[in-house]
Amino acid sequence: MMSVEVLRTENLKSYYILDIFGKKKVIKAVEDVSISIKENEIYGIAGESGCGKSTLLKAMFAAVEPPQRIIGGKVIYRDNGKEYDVYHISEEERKKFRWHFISYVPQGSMSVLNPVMKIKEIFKDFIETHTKGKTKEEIYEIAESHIRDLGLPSGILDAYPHQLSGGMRQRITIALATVLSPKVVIADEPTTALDVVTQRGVIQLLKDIQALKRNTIIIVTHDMGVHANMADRIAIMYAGRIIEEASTEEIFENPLHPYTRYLIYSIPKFGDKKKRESAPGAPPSLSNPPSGCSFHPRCPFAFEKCREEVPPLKEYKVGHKVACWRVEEGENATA
Amino acid sequence: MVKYFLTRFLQFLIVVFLSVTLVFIIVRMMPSDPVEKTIAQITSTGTFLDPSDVEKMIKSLREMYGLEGSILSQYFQTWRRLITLNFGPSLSFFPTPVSSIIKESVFWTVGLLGVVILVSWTIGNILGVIAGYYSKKLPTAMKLLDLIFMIIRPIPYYILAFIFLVLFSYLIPAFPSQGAYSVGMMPGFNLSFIIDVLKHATLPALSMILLQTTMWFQSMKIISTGVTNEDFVIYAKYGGISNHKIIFRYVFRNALLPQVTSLSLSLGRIFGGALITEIVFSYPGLGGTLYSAIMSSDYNLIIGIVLFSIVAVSLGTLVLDFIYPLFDPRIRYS
Repeated sequence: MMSVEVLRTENLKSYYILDIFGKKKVIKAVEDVSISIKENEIYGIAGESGCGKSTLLKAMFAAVEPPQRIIGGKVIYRDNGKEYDVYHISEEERKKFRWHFISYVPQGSMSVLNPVMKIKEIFKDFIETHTKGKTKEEIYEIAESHIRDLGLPSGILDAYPHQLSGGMRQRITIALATVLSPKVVIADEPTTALDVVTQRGVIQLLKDIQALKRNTIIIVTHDMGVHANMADRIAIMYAGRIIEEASTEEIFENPLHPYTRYLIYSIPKFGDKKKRESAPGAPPSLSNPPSGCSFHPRCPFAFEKCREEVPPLKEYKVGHKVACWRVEEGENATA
Repeated sequence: MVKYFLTRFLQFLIVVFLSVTLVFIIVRMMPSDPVEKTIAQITSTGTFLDPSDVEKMIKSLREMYGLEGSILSQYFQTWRRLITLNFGPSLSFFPTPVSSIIKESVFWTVGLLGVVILVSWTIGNILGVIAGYYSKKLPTAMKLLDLIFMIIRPIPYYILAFIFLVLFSYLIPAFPSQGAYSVGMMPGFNLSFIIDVLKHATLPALSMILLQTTMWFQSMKIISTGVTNEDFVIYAKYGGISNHKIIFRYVFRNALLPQVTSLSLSLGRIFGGALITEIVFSYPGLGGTLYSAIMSSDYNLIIGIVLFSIVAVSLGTLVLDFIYPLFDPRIRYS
């Protein structure tokens, strides 16, 4: 089956440009990211805190607000066979894509519901903005049938946010983001700050939505367990760059990048009493990233070339891309 | 919900009880005796008084002031006066009862301040929320308004009031400079009298509205700048919801809550706050009446006004507390 592309980034660069007492500080949060996301897949983006995951999502959602800026590259949406370069259309046109084509479940979505409005009024505001000429009753009907489809109690539409638990609020936010059946749903750390049982419910909800609406979900989390459970493909991000991308099984069974290995070998397993090892040191500062491969100061296999040149993201096996000089060298040796 | 109303009502009763008791105690701890002071005032004018007359006078004055009997019976007397709103006759306007003096001046105070508070609170909050929402990229008109308000805000009210008086009553004689209505006008419910009253109220009202609007504007601006950075506002922006909807349904309704609270706090300043207005514009009202009562040691009138304002301010706060759940569902459904 040929899978159709739905969203693509080309050499996307997004920086935070801060002005601290007249001194400019540039944080290179997203550096040369080119990913291609297909219709009907769950695409996971993993990485440590502060590696640029959320920045990448905001850039893809085209919700960039200062101090964040798009420095270069493109974000392409593919809707009904037509391609749209998101940063070359007007703000009004960009807004039209929201909720219909792409929507967003933000990080910490506990507090994205207005505390003084009923859930159904919040739904109404979002639906009303993106549909024309519907009566209040029709809009409530859309919200209610969507809530019912997702297996959530329809009574919660009459509740206020403070009357709901954190897990329910998270699920409502997901329902709110998917109410108009967007082709792409971006979920930023949807399970963070929830207990494991609720996490499971939220993951199940996202999977159900995907099965029901056949849309694409881009999920970002540092929790490799969630990725293993959900994603079809995973991209590993480090210091603003994608350093490895492959199908979920491939990533877990045959990780090539040393950083990915650290990530995966740090997950505890039943019956395995070996000491878990994590990557030594801390993630680099994005305002002053190391030269060459940004992982080299923490990499046990680093050699001269790693310190000097940035390794390109190259496909070494079908569907498995890595950015690592060591893999490149090994490839050359065997060839 | 019932618990909320009950607690607020209980609080109201406790506040009134404590403050009335406190006023009762403070007055009795004053070093000067109002009765002796009155006698001294009369004798200082050179009037000769028979010692037996003085004796009789003291007795009737004590009765009039509610200073007869034991402390406890005096205390109950104070409460009886408050509940029946019968504070005895005023001394400086003898024999007009204190209650009718209060009734007359409270009409002007509530009329003037009611309009001032309502108008300035509404305008200040609406302009403030817009300025707060757009604080990162303030439109030029708003920037100008912000600057003007920043200049006006620290001007002491008595100077601002004088500027108004000189500008609009002397240099441009558009409005009368004093009184609540023209001398010789018969108070009554007819058009010419109402227009006359409005004309007289314009300057005092405008000067207060201007200053209080800047106050509400600035605090609302700060509060709504904070609310604008809340997740639910950012998310609504992501959702493409129109700005005016976000401003009024998301930012305003949340930023309003602390403003309702400070409105009820500001009620306490009503009676004192209007004093300068009343003096500058020679406008009748409770503040001015209290001031002249203090100047002429009109003991009954002072006590009457103080007790009355305690009850009125607490009652106003109670009413605001009662309507607060309308603004905040978190209280309505707790």
